[in-house]
Amino acid sequence: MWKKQSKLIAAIAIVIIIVVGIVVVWYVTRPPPAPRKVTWSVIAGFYTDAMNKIAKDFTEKTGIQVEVIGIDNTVLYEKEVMELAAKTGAYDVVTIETMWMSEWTLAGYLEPLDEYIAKAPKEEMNFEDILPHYRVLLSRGTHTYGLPYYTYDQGSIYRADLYERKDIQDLYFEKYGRALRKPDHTMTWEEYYDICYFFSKVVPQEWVAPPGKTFYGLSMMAGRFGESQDEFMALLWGHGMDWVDKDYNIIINNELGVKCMQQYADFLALAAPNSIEITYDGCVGNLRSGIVQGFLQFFLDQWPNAIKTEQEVPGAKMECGTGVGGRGYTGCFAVGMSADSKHKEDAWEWIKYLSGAKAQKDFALMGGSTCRRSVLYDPEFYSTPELAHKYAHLKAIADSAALLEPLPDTEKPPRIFMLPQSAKIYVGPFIDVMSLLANRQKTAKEAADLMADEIAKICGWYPEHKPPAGWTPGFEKLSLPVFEEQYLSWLFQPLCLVGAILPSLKRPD
Amino acid sequence: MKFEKERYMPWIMVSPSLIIVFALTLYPLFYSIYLSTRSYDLTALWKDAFIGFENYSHALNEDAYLAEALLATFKFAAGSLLVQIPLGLAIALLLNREFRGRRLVRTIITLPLVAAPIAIGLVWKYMYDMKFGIIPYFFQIVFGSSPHWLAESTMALVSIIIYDSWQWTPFVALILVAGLQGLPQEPFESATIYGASAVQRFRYLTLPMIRPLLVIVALLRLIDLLKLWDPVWALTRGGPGIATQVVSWYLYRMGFLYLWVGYTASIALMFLYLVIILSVIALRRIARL
Repeated sequence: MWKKQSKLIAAIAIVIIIVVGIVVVWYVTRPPPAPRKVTWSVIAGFYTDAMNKIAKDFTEKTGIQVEVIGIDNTVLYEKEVMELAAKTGAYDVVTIETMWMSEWTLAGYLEPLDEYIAKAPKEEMNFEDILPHYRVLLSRGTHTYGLPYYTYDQGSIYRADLYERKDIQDLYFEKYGRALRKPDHTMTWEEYYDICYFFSKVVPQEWVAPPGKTFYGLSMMAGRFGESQDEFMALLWGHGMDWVDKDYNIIINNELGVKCMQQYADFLALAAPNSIEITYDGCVGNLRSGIVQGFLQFFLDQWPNAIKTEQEVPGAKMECGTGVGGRGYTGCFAVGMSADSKHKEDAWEWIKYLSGAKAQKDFALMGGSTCRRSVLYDPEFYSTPELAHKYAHLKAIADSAALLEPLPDTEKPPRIFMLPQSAKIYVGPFIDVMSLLANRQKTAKEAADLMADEIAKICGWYPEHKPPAGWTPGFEKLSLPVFEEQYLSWLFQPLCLVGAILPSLKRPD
Repeated sequence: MKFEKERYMPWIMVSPSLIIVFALTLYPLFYSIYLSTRSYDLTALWKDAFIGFENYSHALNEDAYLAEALLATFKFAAGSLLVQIPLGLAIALLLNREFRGRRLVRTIITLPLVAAPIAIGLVWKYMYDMKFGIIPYFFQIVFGSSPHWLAESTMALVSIIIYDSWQWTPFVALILVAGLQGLPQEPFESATIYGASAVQRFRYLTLPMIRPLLVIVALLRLIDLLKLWDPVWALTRGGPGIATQVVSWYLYRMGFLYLWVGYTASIALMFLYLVIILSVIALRRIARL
């Protein structure tokens, strides 16, 4: 028996020695701690190339690596929402389109940034330097959820050489009895329609068209993409209209709304035929092919691409300025912190750096469009006529922003941004209905009525086109100190069948 | 208890596969059924509640977009079958003859089948482009003008049918070639002796004999066509308007853009039932061969 016991003791001792040995070897040979790193989801393309350079500078300064994950604009929304809704923490910093802000804040996807902003040194943050309408657009309730890093505010981009030609000016005066003006915020949409009609139908083709091609009054972003309604909104807001009024009643199908829809269709009849297939890059392609004089209103951040027309079309001279109608589409891409980020402090450092004056200036020097006043008005960009021309879009952005400053905060962003379902409306009926109108499958009245119905359905108000009595967007909930987690995140763990069957734990209404 | 190895060992051996099948197919299916009875919105989780068959009722009675998507899907499927089956049969009849280079031709026509659909779709998108596409260019030369292939409602559907037919007609042809080669030769020899023309032999002998295989191929293609996705993504994104918004594209929009997961699950399940019915019919036909 003693022999059996001693064998047992020896076996246990050997096992313990082996286990301890394994632990010691593992501890000694374990890899060094991973470097500090944050992941950032961003639009793939030109902007990402510039951001890689800025991220490298940031890493050298702080030691925090930034993994820049470029995602095509057409799938950015769903890719980010999947990760945010599933609380995976895959992206520490997310790119937010201003139209998505209401939905994401109410869903609890984003971390409020106020405390971080308050604690940041002024020379690094300088929150008031950010253009006021973005500060409003990126806040909900009493919290700020994002900081802008690049704007796509719209304005006018056009072939100035065509407007300055004497023969064209004389012909215009002969037809309309007034001087041909370059488009800007003082021009009405009616006058701009006349100009587009003039270039499409009146000016002899041999005066303006490249050999073997047809010249058109404008190019439009009427393809089946979100930008189609960015363009339409410029028309809408330029008429003082919006999709909903200040009480969130849906008004898009009132008389003025139908007029705007009809005007959109009228402009499209004058546009390059491929307008119904393309978005902003196709429009720039049309401009650089020399077949259009300009656009309805256009993203000023495309100026660095548009200005290349001067090298590609003989005699072309480009200019940009404020948008027709007095109010262009306003929006930006912002950076926000995922509420599920496991590296919040490092994520904040990147957000602060990217939206800060130094990185914004670097971005502007690389052709990007900044959201900071100090950069927009930096004399370095206007020190020579060549630089002033190269960075003309910065002045246009500043001038467009100045037009918004006198407005009260409640009007700086149009009401549509404040609807909780604005993101769904943006990716859904905005695209469907504008495409139906663009392809003449619906008349202006039918499109306006359909749009109103679809917005009402998404908001849950259908058949009414207004919210129920006492309804609010719900942003007052965001004024709570912490937006608590609403769900146990079992639903996306494949083996948790039990969690899928049991009633979910719900936050009380 | 004695471990009955022979009785339980097969189950033990297949259990890893069963677990994977359960995890990847049955669990998602049951979970989808569960979701389809709820108002589950990924961006508004606090609104989640059990709503019974309301999603199904809404889809069947009130969703005009779904009805349009179903119509677009069936139009596309019918148009594609009308092209692919006769064309595939014609190619099969050609390939059934002996000629020099037959094997090479057979290899070449299968190339579209092995190409990635999205990549091919993007190539076709450029071919249809009105500014620099080769198809409008040739139409301009031959006819003096070209339709807007991707920008007109009817033409967009036709464009997708052409693309899909280019890719999948070889599949039809290969299956029919195999069928033709399995036909007995005696009736054809007899018919030739009795003076039947080629058209008569085709009409009274080939077609009746190959009809069961034609039905199966058509069913298999129909099942694939109902699930169409890649050409829509690559070429039209459901446009112009909603002309090419087929059911799979509509599901994508509801599920991944609107994030109305509950409603999407209900539509997906109804569509799954339809595809299952067609699959059962096809399998029974195959079994009868």
